[in-house]
Amino acid sequence: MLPLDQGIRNEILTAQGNIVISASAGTGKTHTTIERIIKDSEENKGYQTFAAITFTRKASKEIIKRLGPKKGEGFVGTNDNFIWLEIIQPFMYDVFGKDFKKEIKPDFSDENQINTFQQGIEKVRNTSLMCKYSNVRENFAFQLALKIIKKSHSCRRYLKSKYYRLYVDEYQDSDVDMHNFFMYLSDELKIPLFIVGDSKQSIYRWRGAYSDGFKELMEKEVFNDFELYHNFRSNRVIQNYSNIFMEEVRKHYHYTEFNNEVILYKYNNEHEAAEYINSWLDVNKKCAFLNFSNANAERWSQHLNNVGIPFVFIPGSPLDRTNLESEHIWIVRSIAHYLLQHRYSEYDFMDEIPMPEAYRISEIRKRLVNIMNAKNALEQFRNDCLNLYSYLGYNNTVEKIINEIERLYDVVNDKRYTPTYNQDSYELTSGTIHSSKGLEFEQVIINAGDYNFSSGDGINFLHYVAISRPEERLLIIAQNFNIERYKGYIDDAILKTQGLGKNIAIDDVIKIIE
Amino acid sequence: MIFEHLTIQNFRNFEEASIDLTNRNIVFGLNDIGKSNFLSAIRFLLDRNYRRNGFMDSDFYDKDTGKEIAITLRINIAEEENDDNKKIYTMMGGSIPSDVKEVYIQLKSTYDDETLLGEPNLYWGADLEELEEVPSSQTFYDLDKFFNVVYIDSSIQLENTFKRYSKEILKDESSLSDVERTKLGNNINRLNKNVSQLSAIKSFKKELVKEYKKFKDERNFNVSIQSEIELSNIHDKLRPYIQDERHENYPTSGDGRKKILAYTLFTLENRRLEDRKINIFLIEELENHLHRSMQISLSYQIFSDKLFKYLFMTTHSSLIVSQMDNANLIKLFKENTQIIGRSYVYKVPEKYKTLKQKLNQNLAEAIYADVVLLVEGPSEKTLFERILNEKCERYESFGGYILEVDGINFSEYYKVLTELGIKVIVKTDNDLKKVNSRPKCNLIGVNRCQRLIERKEFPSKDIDTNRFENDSNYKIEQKRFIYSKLNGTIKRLERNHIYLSEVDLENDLYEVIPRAMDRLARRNNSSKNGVDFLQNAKLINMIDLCTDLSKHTITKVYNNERFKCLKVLVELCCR
Repeated sequence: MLPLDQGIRNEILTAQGNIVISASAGTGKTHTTIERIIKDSEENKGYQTFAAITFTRKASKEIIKRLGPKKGEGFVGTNDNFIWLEIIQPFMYDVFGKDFKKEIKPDFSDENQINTFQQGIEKVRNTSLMCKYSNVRENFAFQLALKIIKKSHSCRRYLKSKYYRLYVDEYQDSDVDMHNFFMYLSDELKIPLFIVGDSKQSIYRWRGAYSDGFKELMEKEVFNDFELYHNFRSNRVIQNYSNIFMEEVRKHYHYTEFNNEVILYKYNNEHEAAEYINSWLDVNKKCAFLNFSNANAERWSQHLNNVGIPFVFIPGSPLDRTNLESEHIWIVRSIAHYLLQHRYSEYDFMDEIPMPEAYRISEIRKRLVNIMNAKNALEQFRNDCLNLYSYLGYNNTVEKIINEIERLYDVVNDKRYTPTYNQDSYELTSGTIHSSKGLEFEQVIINAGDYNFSSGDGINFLHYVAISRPEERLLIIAQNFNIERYKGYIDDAILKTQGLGKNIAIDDVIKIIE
Repeated sequence: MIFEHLTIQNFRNFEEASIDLTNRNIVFGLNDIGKSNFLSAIRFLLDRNYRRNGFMDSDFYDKDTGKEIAITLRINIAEEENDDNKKIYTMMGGSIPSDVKEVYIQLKSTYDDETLLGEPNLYWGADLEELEEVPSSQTFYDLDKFFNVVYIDSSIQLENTFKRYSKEILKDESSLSDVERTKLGNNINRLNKNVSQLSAIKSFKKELVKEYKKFKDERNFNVSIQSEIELSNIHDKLRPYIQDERHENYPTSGDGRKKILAYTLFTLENRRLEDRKINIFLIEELENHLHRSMQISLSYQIFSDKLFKYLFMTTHSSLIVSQMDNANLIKLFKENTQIIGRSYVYKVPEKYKTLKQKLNQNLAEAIYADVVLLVEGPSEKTLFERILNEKCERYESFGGYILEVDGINFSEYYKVLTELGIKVIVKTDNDLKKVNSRPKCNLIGVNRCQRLIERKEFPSKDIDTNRFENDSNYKIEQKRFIYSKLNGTIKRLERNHIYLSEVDLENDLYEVIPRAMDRLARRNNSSKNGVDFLQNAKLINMIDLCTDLSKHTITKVYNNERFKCLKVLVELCCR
């Protein structure tokens, strides 16, 4: 079956000049990017090449894997790597003088934090280490890269000569300095860009992600803008149901035959709900009950087990809580994966490092094994973890790091969290929306009681994430005092969709059982 | 991209050679002077396949492995819109600071007594004192992604070239359509079957089995002989034929056409690479086995086709260089014990564009010599050759050459030849030229000489207009007078091997051998004196005179001060 937006996908492959694509999750944006890279590389048989710039090392590995030998001389790597290898390392001397004709290494340790740009330059001069601002909302590396490009004729000439196009992924996560940098490449150097992003998905707002930058591109005249909306993950009914709740994608509602794929079920007590779920559930397919809180998730798993369906409780990891967010939280998160997740190796750990080139796999492995062996001895465990932090450039034993490590110790010594890190191996799960990120399920159950749209920012966004998650079936259960509120949301969504001139009735998208 | 300069140190027969380059370079010199080694230096620098075996002890100058081999190329990269410069910008990245116009690529090697090899190391950058290592993985340097050195041997073979090329034609999956593939596959299977069933093969098979069983009697032993033509190797069986007008295959046995076709294949192959790489053509003696018309057409192609924009060509053929314009002539020669190179970028002067053929052909001959005597015209050449025939018969094989300028300025030749390190001797007439509508004449003969050595020219001289125009003796007197007055100048010119006649060839000669000349006039029933008779029909009469000269007369001319240029030529040649 061809996707609904096939025409757009074809246009994306042939459009000239700058291209910006807004793509929701599951719409195959990586696939589209790869297709375009391959097509461009077939048309550019000359000495010029491309750069595919990603936010995470994982993403660039994925691209390298999918391109295979077609990668050729192309650059595929993270944005930090791109500016370090292509701009800062080779050309810093051309702007700041011969002192900088040397190897400059990435380093993100706290003691290397700086407050002003000039301090940063001196830091690099004296230590040969790249540093960062104490203010996480400013990006020293990208400010430096932009400065170098602006001042170095040779650098500009190099980039213009070398690249016929740059492809940038997850653009919504760019901060304002990255945005300025990429805009300079496009506006001044006239290097065509191919940018993909999704303003609905920015997860890095806490550290200054500038999603306005992405929106600005969609408006920019020299950019051809496209939108991918066909969700390959979910069937049409699920897509329709999720689309009508979000203003940006509501217009993509298209009538399709409805066979009870989405159901709203009213219950009086939880046991009754569990019985209904038992009759609704197709046990041969994966199902996730997505909750707001751990407590609810645990309670529902018990109810469901009581009626004979073995839903495994997946507690959200305390390490994933937003109040723990920091520059180095990824370290304990990755250690947890290493200690708890089946088949997660030091190589996977390596992929999480923002600048892996600066580190050696054998050194990482040695430290991870030490941590593993000290799993039950807090004192030793703490020291071994600090040792890894230190190797990765975080030398200060600040309270924050100690706190992270102690949380990690609790997690790895609590059997309840084993499923959290191995969700994939369970068919039926009950967990939180957050913990299900990136996973796919054929069936999803949510509780309408969790969604009070008027209670604050982001609730409707979370609702969208939850209802667009299933591939085939969605069950919304609502206790009698919640159902009217939820029905109100549906009515509102339907009305707004009709307002776009769509012919839509409630029976086309959901079956309500009261 | 413009090649500017190459230095070669301690490499093969070059101890220290420093040579200016441009993009089209013609390398010439005697056999064994190092033309091929010159190309080898460039191959070591830019050609990965050639470089990767490293240097042997015999690659070091004088086999002195204690010294370092260094080959350094300077390139101008200032023109920003030039596609090849863009390749260099991409290739060298941060190794080019913003303000530079020239970069260096350098190869260095020191001999390792353990491995008995000199490992080549490459460097590049803008500051010769602070070059950086060229990034590499094993023997593959970043530079190798961008340079494609095409070395064409003088023994270029059509068959081999074609084989390499035909492989390329069918290499791609997409080179055959599905229909073609199936059809071809079926036909090949049928062919293979037919071949295996040939009666000759069948009976051979039988014999083989019979013979085998004499060694070892195995009951079930059998042999099958199969034809193995496959889709994947059919390119191996492709052969080029030149078709004649009736579309019949012309056996491509003629060396000339085969060679041209081979060059064509090279051209085709590398034209496709141009977008990705910088093609550098190194061509050795392409004149081998080619008729002169083929040589001219090839050289025309090479000097006009943009594909050959970076060219280093060794040659012994003046025909090959006859089409040159804007080419760098590199002459390799021995000075004392050192092989050195001198070069000169030759551009056909604007005013001679229409005479290019003539100028080039004369020059193309002369550049191969070590000592060139420039003379006015055919009379001089005839006489001088006659004399040299007697005094130094083999002067040409010793590197001497007489070039008649014949209407083209001496200076055009003088400059090119001197720059190439060729010793130039000039013999010219003491011409005077009347200034229009004024009682003055210009000392054009003297001044012609003065210009050659960049000295001040003399002002015009007062004359009696009437006598100058009507009395030939007056003119001769004037010339003699001037010659006698400019003693110092004449001496200086002679020190520079520039010899001015007192009057002109015939008058000067008459001073030396009046009787022989008068005899010639008389014998031809002319009432004129020897000078007038000779000048009457210069070339014909000069030939006549020369056939008749006695040894004694020749010696007289040869030893005379007026014809010192000849002695100098012989001395310089035989030195």
